[in-house]
Amino acid sequence: MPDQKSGRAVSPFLVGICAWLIPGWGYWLLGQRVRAITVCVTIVVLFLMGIAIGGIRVMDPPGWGEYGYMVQLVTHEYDDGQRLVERRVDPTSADEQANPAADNDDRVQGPAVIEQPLAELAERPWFAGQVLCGPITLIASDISIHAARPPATPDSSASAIGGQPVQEGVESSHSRSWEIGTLYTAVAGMLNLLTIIDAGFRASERKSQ
Amino acid sequence: MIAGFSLLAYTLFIDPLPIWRESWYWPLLIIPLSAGVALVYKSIRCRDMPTAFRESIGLAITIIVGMVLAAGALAGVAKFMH
Repeated sequence: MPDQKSGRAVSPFLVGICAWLIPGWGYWLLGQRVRAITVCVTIVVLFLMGIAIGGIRVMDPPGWGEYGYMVQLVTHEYDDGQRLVERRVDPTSADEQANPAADNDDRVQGPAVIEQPLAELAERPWFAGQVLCGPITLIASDISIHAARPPATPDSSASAIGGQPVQEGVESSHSRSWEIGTLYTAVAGMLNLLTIIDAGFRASERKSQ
Repeated sequence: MIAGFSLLAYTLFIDPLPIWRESWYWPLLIIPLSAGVALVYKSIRCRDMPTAFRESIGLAITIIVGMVLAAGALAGVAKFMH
């Protein structure tokens, strides 16, 4: 088997990074090509099956809202100047994202993902598993964010103010399809974590020999 | 019938699979997941890949049977409690 014959010494750190970038690449660097292809195909197929089951909106990165714009933190200052109430604004348009303040007493703190990154991640902990699949997760998340944005209409801002509910570009999935889709993508990421650790361990063993 | 119409409106990788309605096939989605988990796990554990492929079949079946038994037991407990 080509898996056992080659014995190149590669840095475990490099192997770990490469294994995250493309599932199975760590084994490939160690010369274990059958293992690399098997792991890569399995993890990528599981990840894509998750998106096929749950839809692209199953990729739900922390910090982005229902309508594909960055959630903003706004504090409201009362007349006595003492009480500040923090609230999260889920913008429905690029204009609202740029200026989420509702009135003059609102003070914009900034994007929630920058101001409170851990709180945002805690709201969507499954993304920690998904992102272990590598850049494929980041690409899918970017597609998901753009797909979520409401379709541009001449009076899109007016309809939001006029009481008409703003529609997402592609609606997010719910119930079973969302649960199973998230499970598939998160399990794919967790399996890739196993392969990252294993490939790194094999590289360190080889280096010490 | 309704599930058939929902499937017609389904766009791959964009829309969610319409499995929230009455559909018989959603429990079958455990099979590819179990097969994937078993294959990657055995690829890590086994020294050579032919052994990994062979052993992953047994592990996948074990996972599926275990899940079916767990689901049956939980359904029994839920029915008993109800």
